[in-house]
Amino acid sequence: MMKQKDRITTTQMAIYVSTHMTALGILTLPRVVTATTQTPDGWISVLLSGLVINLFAIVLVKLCQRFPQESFYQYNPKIIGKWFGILLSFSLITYFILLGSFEIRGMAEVTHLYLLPRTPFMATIIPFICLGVYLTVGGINPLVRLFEVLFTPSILIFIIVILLSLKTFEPNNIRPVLGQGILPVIKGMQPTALALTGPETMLVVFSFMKEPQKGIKAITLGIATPLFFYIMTTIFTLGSLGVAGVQTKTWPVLSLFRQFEYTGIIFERFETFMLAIWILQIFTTFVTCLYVSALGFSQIFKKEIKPFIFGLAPFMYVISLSPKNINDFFHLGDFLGYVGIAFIIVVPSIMIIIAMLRGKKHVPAS
Amino acid sequence: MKGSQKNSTNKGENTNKTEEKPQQAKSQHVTDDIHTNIEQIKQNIGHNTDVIFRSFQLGTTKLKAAIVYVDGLVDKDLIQDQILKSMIYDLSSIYSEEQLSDHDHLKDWVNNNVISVSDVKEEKSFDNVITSILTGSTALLIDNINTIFILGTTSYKTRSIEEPITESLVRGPREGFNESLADNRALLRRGLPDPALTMLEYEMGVRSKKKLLLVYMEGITNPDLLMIVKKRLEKFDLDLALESGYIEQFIQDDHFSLFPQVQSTERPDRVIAALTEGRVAILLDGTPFALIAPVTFSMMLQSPEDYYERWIPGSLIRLLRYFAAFITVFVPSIYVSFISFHQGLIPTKLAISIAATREGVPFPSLIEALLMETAIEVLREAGLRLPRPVGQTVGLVGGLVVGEAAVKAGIVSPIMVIIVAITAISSFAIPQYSAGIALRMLRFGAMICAGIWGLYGVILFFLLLAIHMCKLKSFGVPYISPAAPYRLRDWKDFIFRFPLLIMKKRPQMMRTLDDKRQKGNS
Amino acid sequence: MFQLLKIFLVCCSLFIISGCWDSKDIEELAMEVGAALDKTNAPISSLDQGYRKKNIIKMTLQNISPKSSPQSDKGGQQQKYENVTGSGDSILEIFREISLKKDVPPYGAHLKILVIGEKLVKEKNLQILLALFDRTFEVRDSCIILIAKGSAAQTLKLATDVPAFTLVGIEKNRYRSVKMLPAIRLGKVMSNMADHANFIIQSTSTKKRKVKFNGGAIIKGNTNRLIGFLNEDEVAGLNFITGEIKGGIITGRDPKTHGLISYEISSVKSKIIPHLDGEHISFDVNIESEGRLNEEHVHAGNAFANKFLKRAEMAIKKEVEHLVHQSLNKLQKKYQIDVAGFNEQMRIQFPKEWLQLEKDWDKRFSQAPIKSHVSITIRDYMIKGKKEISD
Repeated sequence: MMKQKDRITTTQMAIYVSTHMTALGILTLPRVVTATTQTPDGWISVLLSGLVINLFAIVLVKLCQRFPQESFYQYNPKIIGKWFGILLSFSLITYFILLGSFEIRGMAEVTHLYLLPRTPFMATIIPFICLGVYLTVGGINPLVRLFEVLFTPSILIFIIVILLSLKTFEPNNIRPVLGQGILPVIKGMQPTALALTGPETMLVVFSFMKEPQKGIKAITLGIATPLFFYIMTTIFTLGSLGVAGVQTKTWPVLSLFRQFEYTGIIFERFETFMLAIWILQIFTTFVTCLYVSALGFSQIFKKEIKPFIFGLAPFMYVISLSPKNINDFFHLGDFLGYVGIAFIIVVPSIMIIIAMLRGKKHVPAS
Repeated sequence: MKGSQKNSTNKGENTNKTEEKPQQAKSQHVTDDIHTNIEQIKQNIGHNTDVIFRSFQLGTTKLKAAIVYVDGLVDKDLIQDQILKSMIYDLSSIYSEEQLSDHDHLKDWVNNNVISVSDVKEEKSFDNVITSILTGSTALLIDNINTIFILGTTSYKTRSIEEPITESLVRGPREGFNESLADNRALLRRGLPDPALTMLEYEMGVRSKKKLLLVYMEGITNPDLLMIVKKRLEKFDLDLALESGYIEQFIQDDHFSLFPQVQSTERPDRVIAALTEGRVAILLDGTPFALIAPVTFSMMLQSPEDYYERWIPGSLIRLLRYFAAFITVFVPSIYVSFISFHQGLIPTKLAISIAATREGVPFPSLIEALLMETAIEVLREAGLRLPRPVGQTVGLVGGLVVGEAAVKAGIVSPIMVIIVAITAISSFAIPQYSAGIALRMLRFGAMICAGIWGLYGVILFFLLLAIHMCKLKSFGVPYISPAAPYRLRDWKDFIFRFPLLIMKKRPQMMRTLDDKRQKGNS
Repeated sequence: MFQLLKIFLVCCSLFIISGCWDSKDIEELAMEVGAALDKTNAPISSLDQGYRKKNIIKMTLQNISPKSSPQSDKGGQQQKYENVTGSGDSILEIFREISLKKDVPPYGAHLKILVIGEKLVKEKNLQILLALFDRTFEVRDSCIILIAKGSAAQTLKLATDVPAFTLVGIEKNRYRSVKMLPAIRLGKVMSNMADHANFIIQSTSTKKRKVKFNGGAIIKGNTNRLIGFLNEDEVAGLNFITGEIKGGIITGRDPKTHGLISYEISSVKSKIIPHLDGEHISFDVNIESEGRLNEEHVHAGNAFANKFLKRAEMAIKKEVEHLVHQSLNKLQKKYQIDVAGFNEQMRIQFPKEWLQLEKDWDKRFSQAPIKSHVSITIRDYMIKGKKEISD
């Protein structure tokens, strides 16, 4: 019945982008933003940079819409020539591999800290990667279907748990709004980079869209949902922990849920729920990274995708174990954030200009 | 009628196909001579004592005739009153010998004027004749005629239509399928006297030669779906098709999956509802279990009663079942992970009381849980197989006495007994037996994962389950639809059942040819 | 595919064989529900001769382990808890020390209450003391902190079922008294200290295995040390300034008859309005309260006349103003410290100027004039229908 194989709907695309975006960044976002702003206005920074990203993501979609049936790996040689194109493709692939490994490592770190303090990383990471491989060999359709399944419960649980944290919320902590003027807010936009990476997968998966003309709608929805989460999280974390408190916590968002407990219900403590949906979100990001990078290899070498998936999985495992300590790990995160932003802002803008100048466009039925 | 037309044409094709395979060498055609014909039949099945040969003469003529049938499969009254009597007595008083001696007209004449049986066929191939005799028809052989009349006299004892045992409802029709295909077919026809209701007949099993009906709604069911089902049915290649389970295992998508990908049901109302949703049903002779395909996971947790009750209680009960399914799979594992890994996540006072009850239990919680869950599975199985009164006793003795004694002896903690009981009861709240089994099996996987990784293991197991379900398809329909891909229209009948008034369209996931369920406003 | 499956299965079985790294059944843990930290100078016991230490901190852990809570059928007045004491130079060291002496390891995830002795907080930086509790992720940030006047360990030896739970239970009675401070939790304490903010912690006194929550302990922000206490009345005044009152009784005297008037608070709203005029700082504190008359030792005949109500309101108002004044006096004059959230309001209303004011805020605060405006509304007098009879 599913005749249109490997096609995904607009809703699926939006969910894909948003689940890819929500990952490791959300747990550290309030800290990194507030550390730069030093005011309670971090959430405005998040909002602003979200809007900026959305703006450039639209440019990105415009670029993709010039080549609706092809992925970035396939069309970039047409724009900037074969060798530059392949170079760019490889850098995008490398970025995704690193991002995927980074996410796994982050997952392992948090699990190690909160759930399994004595279990070796190997034992947490390997089954995680195995599940990822099991999913990705099924292709893009099971992938997005899984994202859809996880999406609704994640949102519900997130909203419930974050509302529960109202118990320790102090409005004074997020006042005054823009007390120090707009400057700290602008400064605070820079460290949001990692949290806002995600739309760049659009470069690759756009080619799967059933209705490419609705790309802008998909990406706007896809960015708006995590942005909403980010802003909520930042406000509630700041409101509960205060500007100074947020900066002292490695994972401020999880600390937020450790501030309160509700006695009398079956559950007293709610960080577990947050952690559970967060692990699921990390999984989705990891899986997209794995899939998109394997897809890159398969499209460049024009081979089946499966061997690349199997090959990349152990590779990502090794990379994920390479950061020596938590500082190394966060440095890698910062770096990836900037690269991701480059792929959202710089690359598509330049490409679309070149494409327009050279008049490159997908010729239908060629 | 469309149905019957298709019926005959298709049957022709199919029987031809099955006929080619066995006993090709012996395949002979019927001759003029009645003796050779009888001999031929005798050679094949004559050694069986239940095959009755009865020779006689037509009326007062010297024309020889014979009937062959299997004792017990035929309606003897019918044969005596309508065939033997009319051929031996009534003929002589009406017709002259001359008329009967005209061989060319004899055939038509016998057919048109003598045999007062509704179902008559002419057959020239011995293989078919023998098959027909063995399935309860009576063969009528007449000298000088080179065909054999096959008279539909099949009549055997069937169970009356009773309430389905495996799917009983508080409110809803009390009739269920029985083992007779004719009865089952009639139940469907009676429930849905619509010309669009189409039944294609197949023959299943080289030796069992079971009749199978593929039922669908012409003009509603998606032709692509029909194609897939037909293709898979034709792939069936076994000498035996005892039960629809045989068919199910041949046509399902993923043989390694724990989840049933075809729904089996005893309830005609359920089949009819599925048909109008654009699904296909498969009925097999000799079993009360009809198959419905394609299915989705949500169907496993639905009961026809959801629709018979008003929508609010219906929805809430359905929600309860989702909850029960979750409990069945995850509660023991969550318990294990909390007790052995994340003691901090239990409310303090509960933690203290659990710790107190577990004091002295010699096993780690995982082993304790596995032991108890296995014990309850054994109990369930034992109770199922024993005669009903004894079965209940076993359940009681096992559940109460053994549980109590185990707690008293300090082998298991009372909380573990509670957890096991809750999961067991929840698993029985799932209306589909096969789905219940699947979930119960998964519970063990979840427990082992929890035993290794704690809560992280439970999350991993959940992911594994979700991934598997996302990859699974049943006849081209994603198993977890309408959860994914999102089809908001289908969400009206997913976790909640919306009022029938607003369920104006058929499920989107079935891609039906005719969307509307209601006549008027769209 | 099958190859991979095999490898996967092998991995799985490996995990199962070597796995369960973290598995530890609940009954094998000693659940800490309370902890007390004290200064000590006890001599080093002969058991601890094996290594060098100076014994600065004494820690008492209140454990509930199944071993110490036998099933009730064994009967007897056995304690449900067990106090374990250890001393050493740092808290982590004491924990490890306890592990050498007890078969079940202490488990901190259920730590509900942490009591710190007065002397210890005066000498040691609270931030350093609590760092361990904050950094190990076992102990939750929702653990309540108390300061004990005298010995903290004594608060865990109350004559109740489980003293730690008793303390938590008392903490929940805030809706019945104005003299109790809002519970301050570990996470909040750590945030405050990171912010170098002054704050006040509920303090307790213990005598003969009985406890009372009396007053508050003031912690100075930049040193994180205890500098003094507020008494119960001053705490009440402070609560009126911050508006952190859920209920309780205020007793005033009728100016005419000098009878007692009890006013039960149903709500308190307070607003601190900062004024900045160049360098000059001043504050207005608006306190609005609604409540009902609960008990009065004045002649009942005129209890329901509006005139009397006005008088009663005046009496209560006077009392509240007195409380507020008293505590402000102590904060401004004696301790010269702001724990009532005046700084917060200043920061919010004058964010730009705040950057300058922040540095010597406590000094500025102690010199700032503060005017309080109290308005009391009596809503209800608990006995209806007598109104006609009176007057």
